[in-house]
Amino acid sequence: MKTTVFAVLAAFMLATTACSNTETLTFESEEVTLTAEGPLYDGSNTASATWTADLSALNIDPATIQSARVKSITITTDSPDDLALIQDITFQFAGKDVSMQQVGFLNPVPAGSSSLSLQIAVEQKDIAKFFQLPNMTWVSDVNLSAEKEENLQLKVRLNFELEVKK
Amino acid sequence: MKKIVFSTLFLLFSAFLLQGFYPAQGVEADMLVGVWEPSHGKARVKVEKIADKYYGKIVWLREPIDPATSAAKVDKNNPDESMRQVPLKGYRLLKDFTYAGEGEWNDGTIYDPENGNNYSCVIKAKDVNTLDIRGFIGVKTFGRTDVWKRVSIKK
Repeated sequence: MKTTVFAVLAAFMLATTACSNTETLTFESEEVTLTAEGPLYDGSNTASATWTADLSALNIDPATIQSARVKSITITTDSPDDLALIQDITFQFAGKDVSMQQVGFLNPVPAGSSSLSLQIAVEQKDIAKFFQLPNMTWVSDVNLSAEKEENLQLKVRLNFELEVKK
Repeated sequence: MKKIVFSTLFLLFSAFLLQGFYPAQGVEADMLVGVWEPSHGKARVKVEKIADKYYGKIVWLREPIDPATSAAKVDKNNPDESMRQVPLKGYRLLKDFTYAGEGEWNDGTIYDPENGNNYSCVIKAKDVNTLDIRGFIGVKTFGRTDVWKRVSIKK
């Protein structure tokens, strides 16, 4: 009995200590433009952009990020006609030495949308590793309902939750 | 002198023969880029280069509609339930391949939408229009190889 009580207390103390060593921060990216170069055909097309997280406002070292999660992905365009062309959309991160991660999607895209809020993956792996790279690539695959001669430009803003070592 | 000339000729002849047997050796890394069809013919996969790695997504399905739902097929076997409505058309099956030289791309994975599993994968070019795609768990010995053909034949 004594041993059990001691073990429970020890586990509680360990958990408390571990928790107090990290803090949770939220971080919003600037607006990033992802481009799919036209001419584009109906069906699947890819828009991408390279992004470097500027964490200076948070005053943290990327190496101290222990875990990270995408909390929201919002997409807009300059032309509402472009959003009307998109049937569905998926969003991924790619980067050197880290496997591509699918973090969000929207299927179908509701008709008449002026901005899109993607559904976010519950299981997210290795997102913190992307912050430790010099940059990451945002990749968005869109199924278009019709052809488009010009480039498709998606304006994307992401919101992250970062768990940082104090 | 005769010996040196003979050795050089022998080496050149051997290289010529080897090139004939292994036509993939001279292919460039970007040879992987294009649209490919697996042996079952049920899908076509477009390989693109993104940030120095190669990724392949489904761009065509022979049967795009799921008879059970009468809607476009989705990734219904994804182990993450929250992602089971992601459309299969546009889905990235091949991820993170890097060129290792000699017509081989490795360090990547292949996803099987029919069971929701990811496998380690090596791609080997047999020639400019044919790929051996080997998926495996753990070691390459225990795996399965499928032959993929380029959709628009390169001459």
